[in-house]
Amino acid sequence: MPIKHFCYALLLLLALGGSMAVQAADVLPPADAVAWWVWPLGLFVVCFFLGIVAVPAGVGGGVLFVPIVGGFFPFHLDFVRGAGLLVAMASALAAGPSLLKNGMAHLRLVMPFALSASLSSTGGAMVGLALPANVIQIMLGGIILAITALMILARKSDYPQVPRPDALSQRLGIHGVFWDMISGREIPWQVHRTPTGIVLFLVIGFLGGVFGVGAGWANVPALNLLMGVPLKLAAASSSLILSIASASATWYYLNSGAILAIIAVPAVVGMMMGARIGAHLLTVLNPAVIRKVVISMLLFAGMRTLLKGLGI
Amino acid sequence: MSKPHQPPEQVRYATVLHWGTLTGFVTLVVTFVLYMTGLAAADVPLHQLPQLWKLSAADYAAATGLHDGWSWLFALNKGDFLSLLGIAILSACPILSIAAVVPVYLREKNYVYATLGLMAVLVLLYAASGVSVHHHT
Repeated sequence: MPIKHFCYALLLLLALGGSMAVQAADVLPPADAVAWWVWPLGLFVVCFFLGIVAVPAGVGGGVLFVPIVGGFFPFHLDFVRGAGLLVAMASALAAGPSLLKNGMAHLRLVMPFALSASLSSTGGAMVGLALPANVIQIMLGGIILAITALMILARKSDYPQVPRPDALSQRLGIHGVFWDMISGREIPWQVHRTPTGIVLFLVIGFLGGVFGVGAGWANVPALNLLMGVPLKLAAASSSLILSIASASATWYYLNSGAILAIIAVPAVVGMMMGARIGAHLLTVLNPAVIRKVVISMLLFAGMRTLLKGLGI
Repeated sequence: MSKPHQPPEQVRYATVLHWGTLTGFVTLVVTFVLYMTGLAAADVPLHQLPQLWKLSAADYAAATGLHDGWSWLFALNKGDFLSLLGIAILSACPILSIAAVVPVYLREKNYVYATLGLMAVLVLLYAASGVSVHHHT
C-alpha cells in the first residue's frame, strides 16, 4: 500500500534526521550566524513528526521531545524541559474532556494519585532547575535509557485480576464499571496496593518535574501492573493525572522564567498537529514497527544526551 | 448495550476542561502570531534570541532583566510576554476543573473527595503563586 510505504519512509527519515542533526550541530557555525527563525521552524517540523509517531507508539510527547530536542537543538536544557512539560500537559489536556465523557478515564481513580504526583512535581521542578545542566543531562540520559528498557521489557495486562481490593481503595471508593467501546462490554474493576501506588506516584511526579518528560511511561505500568487497573482505563486516567501533575511543575518553570514562547509554542502546536495525523494513521501503520522505530530513537537520543552530559 | 452515563462531577470536570483548554489554545496561537508578526513588539529582539536561549533560565533572566514570578503579567504589551498568557491559561485548566467539582462533591456529602479536591487546588495554587520561586532564586 503506497501510503504505508510513504509512512515507513517518513519514519526512516526521522530516525536518520536525528543522526544528521548530530553532525549538523557539530559543524554548524555559532547560532548567531543562523537566522533566528530557522530553529523555531525546525522545532515545529521535528515536533510535527514526533507527534505522528508518538500516538501509534503509545508514548507521550514529552518523553520523546526532551531528549531529542535537548540533544540536537541549541536551546538550554532549562527551556527544553519547560517546553517538554508544556507539550506533555497540552496533549493530556486536549484529550481529557473526551476521555472523561466517554468513561475511558475515572475521576475517582485520578484524584488521589494526581494529588500525590502534583505535590512532588513542584519539588522535582525546584531540584531540576537548581542542578547544573550537565548533571541533569547525565541523569536524563540514564532515565531515557531506563524508559527504553521499560518499553522493551514491561508486559501489559488488559484486564488484571484483583482478587481483593485494599482497605484504602474501598474507603476512597476507587472502583467502578468500565465500558469497553471496542467490545461493547461492561467490565467491573477494583484496585489493590493503593498506599504503595500513592508513594509511587510521589516518585513519578518528582521525576516528571525534574526532567520535564511527562510521566505516562510510568503512570500506566503503575496503575495497570501494580494496582490492577484495566489497561485502557489506566492509559486514559494516566493522561488526566499527567495533566494535573505537569501543571504543577509547569507553573514553577513559568514563574522561574524557564518557558520561552519561541520554543514552547512551535513545539506544542507541531506536536498536537502531528498527533492528530498520528491518530488517523493508527489504522494504516503497523504499531509494532513504529514502536521499534521509537525505541531506536529513544535509545539514540538517550545515548546522545548521556554523552553530551559527560562532555564526550 | 448502551454507554453508561458518567457521574455528574466527571461531566462537569470535562466541560470546564474543554472550554478552558479551547480558550488556552486559541490564546496561545493568536498571541504567538502577534509576537511573530511584530504586531506586539518583543521585549527581547527576535534576532538576539539565538545568543540567549543557550543560557540557563537564571542567566537568561540576568541578561535580559527578566524578573521571576508573575512580573510578565505586567508587561503584556510585549509580544514575548503576551505569548505566555495562553500557557498560563492552559496551566490553570486543571485548577479550574478541580475547583469546579468540589461543590458537586460537597452537595453529594462526599467529604473525602471534596477534601482531596481542595488539597489539589491548594497545591496547584501554591505552585502557580510563584512563592517557592522567590525563595529559590
